Amino acid sequence: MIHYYTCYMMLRFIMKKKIMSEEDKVLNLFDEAEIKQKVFKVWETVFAASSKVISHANNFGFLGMEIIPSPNIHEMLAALQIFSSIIDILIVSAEDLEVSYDEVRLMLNAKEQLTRMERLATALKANNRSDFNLALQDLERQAVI
Amino acid sequence: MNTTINLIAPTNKKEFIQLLDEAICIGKALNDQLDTIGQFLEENASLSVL
Repeated sequence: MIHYYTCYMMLRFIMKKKIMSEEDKVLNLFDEAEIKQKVFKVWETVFAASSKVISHANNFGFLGMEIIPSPNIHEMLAALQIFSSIIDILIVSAEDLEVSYDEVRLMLNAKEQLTRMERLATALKANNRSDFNLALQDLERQAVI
Repeated sequence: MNTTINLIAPTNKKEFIQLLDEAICIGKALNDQLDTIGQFLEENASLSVL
């Protein structure tokens, strides 16, 4: 039974390879190059944002960041949560769409840094200075210099 | 941010790329927000307590 199933799967794989036209292969390669470039861009914007957060927190401190009027910390937290949700969906669907490991790893790395920024913003919103400092330390540890 | 975001899981690589574009837009908006915050903090540096 297993033997027949293995043969069937191999045959299906060979047929699929034959059916896939040269044009499809070229399109697929273009998609992969575009995905690679855009995943890097996402990662880059996340780490650019985290560098700015670290710089603001270090230059102006906890109380300095609290006085921000608009866009205030609530708006920033909302943007972080939306960004984080989109990256979650991308990570989950990457496996089904056979996106390469390197791209998934970059997205996971970006997602982790976003979570640290969310922790920092939540601590600021809750007026919790010690959690703010811990989140800032974590953020700095992972920052790209 | 007054943008509509499509949060449906992509079913093919084209949709995946579209969602990546949306992520890049949100990332840029977040960076713009942070630049505005930075500008405000610099202009009001005397108000901050380190």
